[in-house]
Amino acid sequence: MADLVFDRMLKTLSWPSKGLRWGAISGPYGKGSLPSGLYDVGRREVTGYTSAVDSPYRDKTGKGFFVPVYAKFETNRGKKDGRLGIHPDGNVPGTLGCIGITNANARNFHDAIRSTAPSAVLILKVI
Amino acid sequence: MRKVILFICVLVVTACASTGNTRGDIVFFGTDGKKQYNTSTFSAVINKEYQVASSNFPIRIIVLAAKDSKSTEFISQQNIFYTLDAEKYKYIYVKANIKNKGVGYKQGYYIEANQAKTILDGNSFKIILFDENGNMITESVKVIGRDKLKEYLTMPKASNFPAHTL
Repeated sequence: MADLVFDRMLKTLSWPSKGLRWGAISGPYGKGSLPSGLYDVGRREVTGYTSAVDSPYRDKTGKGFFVPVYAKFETNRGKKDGRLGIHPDGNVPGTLGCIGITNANARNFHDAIRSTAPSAVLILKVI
Repeated sequence: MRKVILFICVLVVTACASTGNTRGDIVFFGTDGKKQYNTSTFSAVINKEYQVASSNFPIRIIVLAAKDSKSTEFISQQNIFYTLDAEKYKYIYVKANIKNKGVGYKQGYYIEANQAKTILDGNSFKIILFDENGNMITESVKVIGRDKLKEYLTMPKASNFPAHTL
């Protein structure tokens, strides 16, 4: 069972076992929204919650993060057109295919990820 | 009677020439084929879909058509796209291939093969740009360079300009 679930229609990112949910979108720019399927979360590569990340990755507080995800199926998404990941939806609304958290303050998503062990295997399901 | 027919023909030709847009609507699909869009209403539909103010999504559409996705022109044009941030320049790109569609053809915006054939109209490569209202900005059977593409993506609405054909 997946840890995180991103529902493209409902525009939500949830973590059912923790009872957490965020508003989230993917696309419409470039190739559009993230394809459905399973993804590995790059737990060890999660950045800090910081203002040092680029503006597209910052929430309304001015801070943000990037959590990379890797498709567990064959795809060309996230190759030449940039890495795929989860981050606050900063600057203009929408993303290039990443999952953009729309909450004004996305810190608790970052905290939830960071509360897991660095070696944790986390799975994201996109539906 | 012949004069009347001739007059009607002149009117039709004049009307087509003055619009600056001789291409009809193109139907395409979103990731995984879950949604169907068309070029004339895409921006408006996306405004509703993403529930944001309409002024936030003046999205332009690039249709990249090629008989074969392994063709030099297709790959070259695609590589030029990668140098122009689609979020910054607010555009989407739609693939239209007949063969060798490659891995993940339907994992982005795409057009079915039969319509790709119609768009290509006998050519092996074609790129078409539409503004946020679905008006054609330009079309070309040759690769459009980065600077020219950037110019088309940042120019005011196509309706304010005469149609460009390369």
